Amino acid sequence: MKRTLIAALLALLLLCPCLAAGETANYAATQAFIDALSERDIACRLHGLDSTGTETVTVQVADGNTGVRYTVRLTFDASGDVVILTVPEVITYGEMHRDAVIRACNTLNSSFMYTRFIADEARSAVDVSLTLLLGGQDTGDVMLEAFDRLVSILSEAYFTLAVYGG
Amino acid sequence: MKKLLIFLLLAIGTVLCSAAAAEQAAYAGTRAFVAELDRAGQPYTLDGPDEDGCEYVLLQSADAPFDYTVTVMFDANQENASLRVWYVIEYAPERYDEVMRVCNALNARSRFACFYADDSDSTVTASMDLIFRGQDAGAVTWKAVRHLTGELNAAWPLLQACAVTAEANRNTPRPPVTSTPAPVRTTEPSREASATPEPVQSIKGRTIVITADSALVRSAPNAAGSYVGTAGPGERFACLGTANGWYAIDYHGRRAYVHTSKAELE
Repeated sequence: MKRTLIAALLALLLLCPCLAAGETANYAATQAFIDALSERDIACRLHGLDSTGTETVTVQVADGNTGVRYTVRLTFDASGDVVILTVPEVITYGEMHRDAVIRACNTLNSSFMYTRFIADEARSAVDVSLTLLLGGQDTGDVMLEAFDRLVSILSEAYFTLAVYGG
Repeated sequence: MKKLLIFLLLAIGTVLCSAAAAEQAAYAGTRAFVAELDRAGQPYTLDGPDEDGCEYVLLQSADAPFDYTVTVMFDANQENASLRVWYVIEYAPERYDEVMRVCNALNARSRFACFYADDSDSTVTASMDLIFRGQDAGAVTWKAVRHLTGELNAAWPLLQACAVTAEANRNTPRPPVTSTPAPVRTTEPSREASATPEPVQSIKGRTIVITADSALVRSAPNAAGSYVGTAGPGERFACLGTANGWYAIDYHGRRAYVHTSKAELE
């Protein structure tokens, strides 16, 4: 069932053109990820370097399991060995749910590998992130695996959070 | 001349010992990692693979503000590894909500470590999981260990404030060397440390007695191991060994584990 859902999700992504195709990234790791996405015809958007030297790629995902659309943001820096994948605002919640959301995030963090679910009390939002350390081999392939894991975990975890907001 | 010969013999011996330790590892990922540790002069203990096919490399904290063990787990797929520091602290069950908030705050400021409270045994775990390919395993995993321990040491003051006294005794804070404030821990391991692996202590033939009011018996020597059962005060079991703060015991005919804080060796 899980594989079917992921396949459906990827099929949806295949319908979109890769917006970043033809653009050149500043960092090799960024370019490797764009190339890997391009090989799977997954749409992405390359954002320029910001003032801190961070380069960002965003990918829109429509999850067939939850019916939710969200943005996966990958940030690269000049070191070339750390990539952070983030989905901001998986949900936003009301103040009355704050303790329950923190408890839910803790449960998800103990249940799933790779990801960190964080309740941002200032924004009343839950973010999920995955930090990837890169070596020198097959970085595009490694980043795609991390991307798939994040999407898959979020698909499973979403309903745990959704009861507290949307 | 004599000194030169002794130096050469010691150098050859060190190289052979390191090579032997690396060869003991079952998986390529583990071998690449322990080879990296050997190059860095970082002591470690190699254990496994266990019945689940998981191979463990245990690293003791070196110049951290408290004592802990980083467990690095590899399996046969060669492309993933998991880092865990179990029992960072033990907290009073009634402080569960407070500890969760602390973990959430730590996760918000950390880049690599994930902290969570386990209400089944009232402990906090720090974790990090890796994806790599081929020969990257050694360098990436060693880098991950340093990132994880760096963030864990930085998190210690907040976590220590939530720890119960017994746990504070177990993870004993180290006394400051000087009267000046303790420096922020370095993530660089000492290159002068011995490369000799510490063997898992064998204590077969002895028994343990449960000293806690109730002790969880688990299938694996970690807080994530599934529950096999419980044991009450005074119950005795044959001890099969000890590693990473857990007793391996014969639990009604099967190998299981009890945390050392819940029992004593007789």
